[in-house]
Amino acid sequence: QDRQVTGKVNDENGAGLPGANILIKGTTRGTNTDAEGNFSLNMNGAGVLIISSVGYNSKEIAVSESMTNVTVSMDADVRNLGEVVVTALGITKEQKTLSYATQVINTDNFSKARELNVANSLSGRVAGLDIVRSSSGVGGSSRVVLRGDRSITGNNQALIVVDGVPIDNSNFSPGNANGGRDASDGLSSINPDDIESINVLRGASATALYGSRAANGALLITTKKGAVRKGIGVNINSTFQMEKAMELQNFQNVYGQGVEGKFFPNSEFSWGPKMDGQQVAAWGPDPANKGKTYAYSPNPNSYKDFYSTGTSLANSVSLNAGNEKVQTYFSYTNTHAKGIVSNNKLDRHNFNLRLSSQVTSKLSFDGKITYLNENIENRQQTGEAFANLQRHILRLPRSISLDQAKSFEYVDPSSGKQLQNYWNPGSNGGQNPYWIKNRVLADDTRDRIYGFTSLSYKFLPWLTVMGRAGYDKYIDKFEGKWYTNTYTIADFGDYQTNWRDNSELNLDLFALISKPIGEDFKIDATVGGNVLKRDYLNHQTLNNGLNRDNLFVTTNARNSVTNRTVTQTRKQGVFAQADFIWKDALTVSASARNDWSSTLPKANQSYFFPSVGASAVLSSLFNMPQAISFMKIRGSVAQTGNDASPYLLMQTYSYIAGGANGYIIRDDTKPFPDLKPELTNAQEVGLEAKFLQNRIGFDLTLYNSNSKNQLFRVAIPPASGWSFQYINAGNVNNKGIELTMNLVPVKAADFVWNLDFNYARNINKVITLAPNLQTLTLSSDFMNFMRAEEGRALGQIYSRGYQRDAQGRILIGTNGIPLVTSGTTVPLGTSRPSWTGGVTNRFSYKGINLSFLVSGRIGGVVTSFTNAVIYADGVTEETLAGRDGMVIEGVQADGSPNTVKTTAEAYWKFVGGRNTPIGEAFTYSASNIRLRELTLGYSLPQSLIGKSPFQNVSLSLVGRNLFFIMNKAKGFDPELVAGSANTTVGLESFSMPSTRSLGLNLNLTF
Amino acid sequence: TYSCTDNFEEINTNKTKLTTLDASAIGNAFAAAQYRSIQASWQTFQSLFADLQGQYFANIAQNFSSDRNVMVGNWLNGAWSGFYGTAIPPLLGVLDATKPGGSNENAAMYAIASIWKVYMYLPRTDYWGPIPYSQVGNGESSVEYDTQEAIYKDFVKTLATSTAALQAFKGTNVFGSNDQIYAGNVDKWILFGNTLRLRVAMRMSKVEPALAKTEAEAAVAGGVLSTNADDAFLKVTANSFNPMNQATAWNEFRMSAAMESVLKGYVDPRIGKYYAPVAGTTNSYKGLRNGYTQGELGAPENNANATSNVADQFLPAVQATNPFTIMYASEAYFLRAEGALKGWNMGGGTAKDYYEKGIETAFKQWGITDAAVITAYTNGTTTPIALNDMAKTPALSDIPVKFSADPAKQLEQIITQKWLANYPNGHEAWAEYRRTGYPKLYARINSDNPDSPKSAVVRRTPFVIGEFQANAAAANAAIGKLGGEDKSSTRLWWDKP
Repeated sequence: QDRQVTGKVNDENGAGLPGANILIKGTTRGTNTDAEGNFSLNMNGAGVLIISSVGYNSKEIAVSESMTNVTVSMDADVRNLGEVVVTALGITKEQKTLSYATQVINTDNFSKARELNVANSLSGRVAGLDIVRSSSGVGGSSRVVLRGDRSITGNNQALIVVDGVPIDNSNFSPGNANGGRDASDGLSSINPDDIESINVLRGASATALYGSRAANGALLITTKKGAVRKGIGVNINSTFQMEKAMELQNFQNVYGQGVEGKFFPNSEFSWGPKMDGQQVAAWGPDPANKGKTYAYSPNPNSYKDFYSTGTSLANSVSLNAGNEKVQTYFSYTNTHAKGIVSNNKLDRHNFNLRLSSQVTSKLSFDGKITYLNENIENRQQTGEAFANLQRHILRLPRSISLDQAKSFEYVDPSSGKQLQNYWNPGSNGGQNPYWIKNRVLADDTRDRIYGFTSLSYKFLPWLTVMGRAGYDKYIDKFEGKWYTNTYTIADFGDYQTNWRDNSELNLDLFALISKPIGEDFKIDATVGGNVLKRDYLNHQTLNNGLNRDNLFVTTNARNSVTNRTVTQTRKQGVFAQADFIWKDALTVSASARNDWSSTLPKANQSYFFPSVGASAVLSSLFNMPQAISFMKIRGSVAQTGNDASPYLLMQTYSYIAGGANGYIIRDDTKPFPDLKPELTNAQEVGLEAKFLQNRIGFDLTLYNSNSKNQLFRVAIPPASGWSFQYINAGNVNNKGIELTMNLVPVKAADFVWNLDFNYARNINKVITLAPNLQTLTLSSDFMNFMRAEEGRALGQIYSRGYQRDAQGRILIGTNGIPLVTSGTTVPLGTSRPSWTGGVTNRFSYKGINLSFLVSGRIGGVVTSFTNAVIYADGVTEETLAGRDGMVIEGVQADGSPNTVKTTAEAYWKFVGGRNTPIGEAFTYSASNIRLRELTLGYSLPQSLIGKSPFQNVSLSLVGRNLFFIMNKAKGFDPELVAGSANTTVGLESFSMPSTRSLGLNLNLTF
Repeated sequence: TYSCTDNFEEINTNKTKLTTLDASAIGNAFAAAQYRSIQASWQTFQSLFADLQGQYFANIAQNFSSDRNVMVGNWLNGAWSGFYGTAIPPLLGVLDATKPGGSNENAAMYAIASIWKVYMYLPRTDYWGPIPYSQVGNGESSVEYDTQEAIYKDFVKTLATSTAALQAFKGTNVFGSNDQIYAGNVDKWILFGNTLRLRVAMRMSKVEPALAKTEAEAAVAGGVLSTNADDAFLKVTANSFNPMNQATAWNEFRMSAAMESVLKGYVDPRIGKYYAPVAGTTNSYKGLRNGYTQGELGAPENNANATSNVADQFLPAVQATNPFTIMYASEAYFLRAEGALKGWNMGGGTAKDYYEKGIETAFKQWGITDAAVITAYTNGTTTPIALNDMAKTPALSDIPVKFSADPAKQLEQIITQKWLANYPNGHEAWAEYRRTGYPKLYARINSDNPDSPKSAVVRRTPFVIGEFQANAAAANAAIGKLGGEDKSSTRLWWDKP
């Protein structure tokens, strides 16, 4: 005869513990606690209840026939908090059995101190994760690299996995120093409100099961799901943030427009006379200004005032409901942001619906659908692009006020046309900044849908089979408008559209086996297969000028060109992975995977890669001093492979319009019919330990990896008939150390201080490139070459430099100006940091939480094309010295000290400028330390809201990127680079000013 | 369907590309070779170097330095890769397919493509000297350079055999409308091939006088361009526009002081055909000196609106219709005039006959057909003028148009008129200036290149950085074939003092 037993499960502090599992021992009957920790259960006679919950020691409670109510207090599992982590394919494992490094990220602040791209929230929090961001305004992409660059020319970014299913993180237009337009990435499509947790798998061992794609590590994002609970849980989260430009450049306010000390109204330089308020001729072709004069005076705030205060408002609501059969989570977030360039705006809507169901005791279903709609207006162009707004505001002559520049257009009386008003009409390189802001317009929209459905069936207590289909599809649309008279790049105006459609389907079928063998032994294994189907379409229309001024339609084209690219790839894989666990203390793991890729030639289509690892929980195996709560060592060896881009095997020919009947042209890349997959071999060892009841914990990892047989494109002499060919060669080594620490320096009744610390150092080296190839130029721009060179780290920057004598002194020519190398042959250093680290302090006192993150990126160099140009323009303080003549320190050819005078103008124009700048003069250490994040929160006490419908009300003051504690770069933020490609790290080129943001967050739960 | 890899090959085939070519594609490839050899990097090849060194134009872009003799590496690199990387592959396709024993053997197509090949390579070897030539298309990671001597000797041989081969196809059409120059007219290709042979022969007349004479006489005997109906222009379209017209939108260059001095001095009616009046005027032309500093370019008198742009015909508005100059019949007459001066048999006429016929042909080409105007000009005794500019520029020369009795002045007159007639072909202007020293172009106002100071003539362009990276062994070996340092001051094989 059944009777009802009710009860409550409390945590170590006496508060109700939601979601705890209650099972009647010896049966399959059980339940979960609700949000307050209560449960009820039908029992027959006496029995034993097993109560378990992640992070707590399981408890068994005997219930006599007469008992109808029980209260259970759970003890935290001090041996290993957060012991269960998500690993490859979404499979959860006990952390203590893992033979490789993982790091679970504290994501509490992601939805409070918000970033428009979640990638940037990770900055400073993950050991070994290097992040730089594209300087393209709101919603720009970021480059996310774990454990250094592996691939010489290919993708180095971590794989992004959401709920076990990879999503596409491509950036189809990462921009480069020569200029570009960022095309967003995959991480920016993730809604921070939906993130439950992020686990970082850094090495190849951790990712062997994702096959070729995860050689660069993976970020495993787990999103929220519904829970069994009473009623509907509602959470409302609102953040308002304001963003302001930091003025890092020091502009000069002494000399105005002109050259050689003389004023010229059409000059693009600030080498004119001193600004004393004298009347000078008005500039520009606008007939309204003809014959007028104005006061030639400084405008000290023109750069700062050009930018407005950016704002961002994010409102999110989530609903959470569930019974034992079905659990639901729904959320909607609306984000509206305005950048510091006032017409650069972002509107984003995220919808998310998750349904989980225990259909029968054996069959369960889980499914999710996420939809994103995003619109970004006037994404800023980057780098050397003539339409990069930052270029023109930085170059503004110091005597021209913003008010004057604001009259950026006029109507030409003879033609009636609306034309650009600029001080040097028709300039090749200069434009009125307000013209670029208002007359070169862009509109990007993204619609993205992704999600999965999965069915699991528990055939046997130890065997579950799961089938899962994951899909990710997005359509990016771009529309660009250039008004007529945008000098050089669109003298006749222009109109471009782009439609990019990318989809990825993942089908997984796998068996999960978890079987004890005897008392002490257990096998956890996974066997399965995966099919991956990727399709990409890019459709572009270019008007190449407009016939009718400023009518932006594809039919109004001077020379209409349409480009359409279609790529398809298919990949199939089978895999097996097994952990042999002895007494929950010793684990031996092995995995094997075989992939077949459509991009490889038939003979090499199939490739195999294995991994093995082991871990030992020393604290369970041996008697340890009381102070040591937990200690584990681990080690693993793994191999991963990588396939190629599609269509490299066959010679192709393009048909393009031209002449009477069109042109047919052999494409410039030599076919490579027998290419082979790439291979990465990686090893790592680690030590994890916790002391003093978990008050101190650390995780130390040493790793080494070699990426061989790389597939990369090299330039061959174009006279050979082809300009490029792919080769399989090279070996890039990465080795390094990663350390994370968690400390609880103070833990009192009301006050807790937590400290999270991470540090990582990576040493990268190109061991070999290819036979007869010691140096490979990866990219070049006006100032720099990025090269891969044997014996040096990837990311080497080369430029022109000073000629020096044997003692290293600068040689000065007979004109008093340094002699420089004719080619870009001087190594300036590596653009990658030597170490990165971060410290997060979290203090909580009663309802008050204070947290701040200080992060550092130390080492490496950054070059500034901006400085090369604007120093030659004479707008910065550095150009003040020597305007009336100076003698540059150095020696003449005969070794005698230089005595020949030159001027600041002659010097800076020679070493700077756009076409042949001397990169050595504009190279800085990229080291910087900053206060990356600050949150100060207050949760209303239960005594105040106890009677209200609210369960939690908290208010936080949040700030991001508040200030530099140290910044060795001169006048700019070294992490804001020209683009998010491999070859743009370390190249600053007309980036936007770095910004600090401050805001308020309100979170309501009821 | 996902269980096997049978369809992988099909999936890995690019559906937006052609993967096989048949005979019908040869014409499209020839069209591409014609257009791309002109268009590829026109700005960074011709406009920023030869046009400024030959002083048809002077630079006004404040941040450009090649007019101060700086051999801007990125630009030259772009010029090189534009040529070898985009123009040569389609030419190779045509030659490979049509050569004896080729997949679509065709003697006429092969001959025409071979003539065009010489036209394509000539300005390139005249920039760098040794360049990859005989080994081009080898598909290897190293491509040897040929000496300029070997290249020139192959030029004349190729032109001789190709014009001879075409005799059998006289009166027929080859390539049809895919030939954007002569619409497939074989007879005109023979004239073009011979004129090119005459040009090449004249260029090596100092270093190989005997061979030059033989080749020049054979070329003239074979028939060269003689009327404006034979003029070679490349047709352009909305999808293959005139690169010069496109570039004029960028406001990088204006009329040179040299042109101003000569055209104004001779009261040359072509001034309005070549250049536009200064903005806001109807008949006031102004050039500027080559080699001003950024500061000097910032002076109001050198600004874009104060100097003469190109004539309307060269503006972007007509970039889809204004044909690009390939070779004029007038050039053949000036070459024959110079040959006659050397005592070569140029068809029986005297140097004066050909000189005057050259002027007449050049005038008619620009629509100036009034015989009285032409005669008056030919007998003109005025001389180039001094300019009232910030550099106080003197007259370019003291020679009039009227053909001098003094043999010492005749060559200067022939080359000066050829320079005027060849506008806007900067390649010939610069090459012939290096060979003859005429016209007596102005020294630069400044030079930022110590190898070629302001009064020196830039004799070549240095080898490009891309070659020292991707083809280093061959590029270094090429310096040995140059006969001097890899500098702008080293004279080419044919360029003897």
